[in-house]
Amino acid sequence: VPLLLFLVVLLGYPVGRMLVAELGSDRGAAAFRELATTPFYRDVLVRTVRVSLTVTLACLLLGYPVAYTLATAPRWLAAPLLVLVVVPFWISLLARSFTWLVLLQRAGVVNQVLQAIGLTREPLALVYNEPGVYVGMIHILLPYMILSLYAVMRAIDPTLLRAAASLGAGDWQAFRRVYLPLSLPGVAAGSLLLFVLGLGFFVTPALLGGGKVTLVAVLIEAHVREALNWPLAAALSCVLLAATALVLLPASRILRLERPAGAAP
Amino acid sequence: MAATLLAARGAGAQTLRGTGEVVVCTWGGSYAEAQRKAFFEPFEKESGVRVRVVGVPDLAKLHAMVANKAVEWDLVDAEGQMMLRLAGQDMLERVDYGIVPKADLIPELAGEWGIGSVAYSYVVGWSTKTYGTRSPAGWKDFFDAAAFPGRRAMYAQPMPALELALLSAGVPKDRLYPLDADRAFRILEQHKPLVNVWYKSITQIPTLMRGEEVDLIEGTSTRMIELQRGGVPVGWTFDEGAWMQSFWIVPKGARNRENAMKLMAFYTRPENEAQFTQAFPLGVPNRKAYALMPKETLALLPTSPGNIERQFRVDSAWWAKNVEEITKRWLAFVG
Repeated sequence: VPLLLFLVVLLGYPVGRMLVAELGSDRGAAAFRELATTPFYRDVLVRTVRVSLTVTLACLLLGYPVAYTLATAPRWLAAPLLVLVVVPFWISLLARSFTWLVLLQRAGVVNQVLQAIGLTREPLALVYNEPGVYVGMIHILLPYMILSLYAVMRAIDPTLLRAAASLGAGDWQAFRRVYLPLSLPGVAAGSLLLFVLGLGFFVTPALLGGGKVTLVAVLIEAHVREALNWPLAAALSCVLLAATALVLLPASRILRLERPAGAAP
Repeated sequence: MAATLLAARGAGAQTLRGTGEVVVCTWGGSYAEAQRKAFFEPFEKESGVRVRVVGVPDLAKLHAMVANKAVEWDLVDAEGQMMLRLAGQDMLERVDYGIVPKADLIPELAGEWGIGSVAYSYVVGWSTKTYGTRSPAGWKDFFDAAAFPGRRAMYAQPMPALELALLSAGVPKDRLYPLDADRAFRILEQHKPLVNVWYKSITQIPTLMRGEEVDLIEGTSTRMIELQRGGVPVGWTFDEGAWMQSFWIVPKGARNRENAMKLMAFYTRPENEAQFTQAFPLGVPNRKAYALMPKETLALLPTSPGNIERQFRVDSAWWAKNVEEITKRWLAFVG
């Protein structure tokens, strides 16, 4: 409850006030009309959801084996591995995005290696496009996924797997029927967290997308900072907020229902 | 002569003495560093006022600060259209020409709401590795895929992309304003497939050219010079360059208004301006500063005689009036 209070006071109140102040006027109504009647804004919203979903799925596929290894490794090995997962948090988002620019550009390390070993002749377009945005976003969001999964996996009792084995289950079967269901709350929490974080990205897509991958947050930033069109920015934020809630509420309900008995609370 | 000079200096120093601090909001990196060396540190020594440097100028932030009467910045290095938009909403302090000496300033840079800080220019830049001794002469060549095949990057901002588009279609540079935005967007729409990267930040220019990501770029003259000095094979030209003027402004309700005016006054000193241009070849507001610069520096300044005629000046007033509408169209155009 204190945390909830904290959120309401420090986040809910200013956001609410801003929305009321900017949207309460005639300009607010006009802004919504503009959003509704311009196909461009719908395209950007659809693209934002698509990019965020793709990144979430990719992080789940990449993060699950890492979290599993961390959770099942002996403590002396798990601790340094965990540090490696967390280290990127200390490097600024901007610096990491720029690093990807340097690595993935046409004369960058990745293309040079690919050409040196003869896999490609011409440099590949690895960045300044949508795939470039995926690489940057996955790199930045992956630790959140790993940590969400790890938190749940660590609480899974290893004796349950041994019990499954003693009842004749093979490794794969024990994993699929015991471990995987028990880890689902972590999958749900991580996926929701990433999806929501992904919806709000703007630095990485703006840099790595070469200006061609416009997401909602990029639009909001431009309208706030350059056009000073705050009603339109507020209307866009409102739509993004509503879209997030629309996905989150049913998703969290379904995922909770699927949580099997005996899962970590 | 020396005595009168000293006396004049003495008098100047006396009027600039003060107490407390002044918070300067400027652009970061080596630019702010050069300003610190040429202006802020000597000003501190002479006036006794402490200069606190913060970054970076942001119209929205400034707007919110003034609207909510919580102004944290005393002196801001603002783009021209930023100044005009804030002035239009009565959010700036008038320049106090009782403190700031006006006589030697270029007349249009001694404005009601600010004095000139620097003039900079967006120019055609290219890789000499790709084109050898062939040089694009302007924006028509920049967009000419047959004559100059290659990859292109542009700044992801409508100003001055709209102007550059019109120039590429043959509009003379003295007849650009008021901009025919519809025509400019139509031309840009045709050029769009040629542009591989719309870069978000000026700091990407070196990355794009060093990494050979593009062969042609809409870049700033200072970044192109920096690349050349670093041995990167690039060329650039002031021909059809888009030069713009920045201004020092004081937000309404600034806590240290008086100190801000004093720092502005110090900024007009020709010796310090000349020293600054050694590190950063940008246009400065005092006419007398140009006489103190070596020829090599003059050749690199967007606003020195011989260079300024080859370019056009971006009309901040037009942009201040139209930026909201144009930004909307621009975002739909690039995205």
